[in-house]
Amino acid sequence: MAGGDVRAGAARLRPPEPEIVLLAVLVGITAFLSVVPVARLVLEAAAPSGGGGPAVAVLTQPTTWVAARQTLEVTIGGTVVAAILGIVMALLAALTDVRARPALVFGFVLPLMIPPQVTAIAWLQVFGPSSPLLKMLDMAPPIGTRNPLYSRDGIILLLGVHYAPLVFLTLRAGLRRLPRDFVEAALATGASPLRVVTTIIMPMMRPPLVAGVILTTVSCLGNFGIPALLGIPGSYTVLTTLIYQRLAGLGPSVLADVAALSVLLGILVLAGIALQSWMLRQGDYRIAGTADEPARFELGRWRVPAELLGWLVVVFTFVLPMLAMVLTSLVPAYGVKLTAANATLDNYRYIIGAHGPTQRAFVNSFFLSVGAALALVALCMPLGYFVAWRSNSLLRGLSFLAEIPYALPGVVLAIACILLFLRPLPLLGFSLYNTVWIIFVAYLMRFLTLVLRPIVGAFQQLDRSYEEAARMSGAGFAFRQRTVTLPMVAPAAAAGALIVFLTAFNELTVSALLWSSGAETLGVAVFSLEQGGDSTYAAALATLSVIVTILLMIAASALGRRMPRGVVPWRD
Amino acid sequence: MAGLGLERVVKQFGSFVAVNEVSLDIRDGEFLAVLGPSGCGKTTILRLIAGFERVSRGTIRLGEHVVSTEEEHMPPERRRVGVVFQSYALWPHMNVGENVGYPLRVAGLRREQRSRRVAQALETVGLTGFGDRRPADLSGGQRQRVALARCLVMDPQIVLLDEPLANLDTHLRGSMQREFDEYHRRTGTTMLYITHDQSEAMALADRVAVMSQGRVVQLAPPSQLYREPASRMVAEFVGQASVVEGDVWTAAEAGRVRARVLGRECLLRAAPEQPPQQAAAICLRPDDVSVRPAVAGDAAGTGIIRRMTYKGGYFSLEMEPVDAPGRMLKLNVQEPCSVEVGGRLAVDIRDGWVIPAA
Ligand SMILES: Nc1ncnc2c1ncn2[C@@H]1O[C@H](COP(=O)(O)OP(=O)(O)OP(=O)(O)O)[C@@H](O)[C@H]1O
Ligand SMILES: [Mg+2]
Repeated sequence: MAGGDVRAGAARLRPPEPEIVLLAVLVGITAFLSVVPVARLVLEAAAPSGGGGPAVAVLTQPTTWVAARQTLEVTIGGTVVAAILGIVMALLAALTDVRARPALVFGFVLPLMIPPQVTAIAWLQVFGPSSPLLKMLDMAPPIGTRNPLYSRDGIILLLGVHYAPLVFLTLRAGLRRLPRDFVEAALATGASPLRVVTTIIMPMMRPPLVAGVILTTVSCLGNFGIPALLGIPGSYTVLTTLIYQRLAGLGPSVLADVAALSVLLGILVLAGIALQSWMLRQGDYRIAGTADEPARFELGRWRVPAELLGWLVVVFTFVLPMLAMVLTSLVPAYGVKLTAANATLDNYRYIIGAHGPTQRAFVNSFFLSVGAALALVALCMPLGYFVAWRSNSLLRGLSFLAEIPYALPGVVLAIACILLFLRPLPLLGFSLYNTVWIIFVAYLMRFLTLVLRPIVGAFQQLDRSYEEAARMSGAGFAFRQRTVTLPMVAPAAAAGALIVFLTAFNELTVSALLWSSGAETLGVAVFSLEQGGDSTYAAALATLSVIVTILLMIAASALGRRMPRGVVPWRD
Repeated sequence: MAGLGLERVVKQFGSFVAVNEVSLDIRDGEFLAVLGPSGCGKTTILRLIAGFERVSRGTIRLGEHVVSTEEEHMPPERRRVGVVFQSYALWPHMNVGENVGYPLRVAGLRREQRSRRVAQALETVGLTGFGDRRPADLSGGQRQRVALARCLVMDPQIVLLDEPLANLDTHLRGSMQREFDEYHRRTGTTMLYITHDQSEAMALADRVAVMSQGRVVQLAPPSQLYREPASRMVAEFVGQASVVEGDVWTAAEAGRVRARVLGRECLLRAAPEQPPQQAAAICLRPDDVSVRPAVAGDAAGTGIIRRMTYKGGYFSLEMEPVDAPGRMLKLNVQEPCSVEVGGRLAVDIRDGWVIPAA
């Protein structure tokens, strides 16, 4: 311990710290992924690339307005169905003493994690003349009968079932934060439990409810898989499918038209988000106190009926359609009645072993999703550090903007990417369009926030003194990130990466507009098989993707135990 | 080891001044405690010294080197200042040995050398054999020691401790205090110890800096702090004291003045430059005042008992003097005693300190 042995005197000038260079690089990449696509769309809205003529013309065509009206119809309908289902289940799962709660929650949230096109394929197998379930019960309608789901009401039902978990999750999170005191104070005044729910709990739950409902609305507006598989055969067009059909039918020559349509769709979505923040600013919803012990009602003799209700919902929204889909994947030919004797795995053999596009799709989707997840983790771990701990208005603005490509409908983001990448890249001289890379970049844009959010959250929950202790030990920026901070946020990064992988692996909406031959994705493969009438192959492929999804969800749950609360959405 | 100097250091957060013109000189090997109420800027001073915050104005000197000025800032990783954080800040993904050995790993030491020094440091804090444990599997006191060992292993110029005992129970606090004391004596490390517990500060430190609202209001050895508080705030914060008004009649002579307090004439201690003064602030410790039951003739120097608290062996009383209604005089009365709340007592003032006028 020699006295005065200082390593160096104070630097004369502030050194060009490596952090500043790193930060500049991170900000540049993030801006490219979030600001550029949004800016390109804004530019499109301000100065349409069609020069105003055809682009404005498309907005005056009757088909546009029919599609817009029908979009609103299924959006409102789907939101109502989702809200009713979600609220009932959230009250049941969060406020009562039903048993096997984690299983119930997992079962109810599953449909959300399953891609919409798979939901659609599964439900289509429940009804219609070829339904294996109905055939086994000898209740199938005669051949040639139209599947009742090919209709507006079919779309509404499926949107509702698919997005009910969104309302459920946000409301349940709110209910779990509700301190027991509020409920007990109300019960102590002599109010019945039902009255407490309607007069105390639901009014206090307005913010999560509004958030969940608007999230559902926005998701319904932008959904593509369900209206595509149900609406296109039923000639019921919404904005997302209109954009898809125009572009798929006529190619980039109609880019100006579809750009105008996607700006219209984007504006609808932003209006929804603006409505939400306006509604949440009304009134004071701050809750004093903590919910160490969340409110809970004892159901007594109503517990068994309540449990039955909960599980019935899970059976009808998840088990039944999945069962129908799995059965369809086992029939030797579509429309044949399935028996123990004729069940076959031939459909799986064909799609895995013989069908070129599907094989390519597996490879593409795997590398796209793994690549996107890894690239985003590499970007967001250091970026999250700066956003959470060195926050300034630039970084805050960026992390807000990073949410927009995810909030916008996938179709709209895809159009933005075509607008950006159709022409050859400046300096490099080649175009990303018609390659798999345009899908990769679009995934980076779209899923950036899915990794950034949990990592920022993890940093915010991490005591700063962990890093400061490393600094006082003499560790420089890179070393202490590598040895101290990054290992500590790694679980959150892993969860974010898993969710990106899960979403990207089955993604359809973005890739439906961006794929090209040789650059198919799994979502596109399932979609094309079903659209081409190969329902048994589609069912087999969809079954495989559901199995992968569930396995990954279980993995994420296991990781979730080491994670800050709320990173893995379906876990407590 | 090295001394430390702060010269008119100011730290502003926006327009809020958290540290205001603080000057401190800590001698090589000294144990200095920084004492003050919550929010007075103690942690901020520590963070300025460690280099986690930049100074707004002023200079910080470590050994012979200036490490912080308005323009220049040596980053914490180059200061070799050890910090024991209040939260301990032990990294949960490393075991105890890896935590302690981290500064050596940073310095690029070989594995064998590292494990030898880690073992040494663990021995110093009495945790031999704990190297493979996870921080989560340690008790609060043991975590505290690991945090200290992590500091020691880097051979710091100065060790800063931010309320290191605040998270421990009373018993453990006492034994850790003894260990800090012993450790300081043995190694002669310069230490800056932050606390809001005055008894801790008095027990451990060579000198104590009392802070209030971002300023150092007094810097003195513990006994001087107790006997000669420089301000009303210090008098009330350090030890139990009652501050009452009194008239000083004479200028200080051999450290004493004549005065009249609560209607009683008495001799008080005072600063050499203390002039005669009306309505001076007088610091009375419980031991400065003796009590007896009031008799009929007593007019001056009596009061009514308003509160009594049993302290084990004696009672602590609060008395409202007849001559200073609304004020409370703190007194101690040995057990057994016959006084009760509402009763009348007469006081004799045997000693006291005239708080210098600001
Ligand atoms: N980063 C900051 N930004 C703004 N204000 C700050 C910041 N850090 C500290 N302050 C303010 O400076 C004042 C002093 O804070 P400091 O943490 O030094 O207090 P303290 O004496 O350590 O208190 P305690 O005993 O409660 O730990 C407080 O009013 C605090 O709110
Ligand atoms: Mg503090």
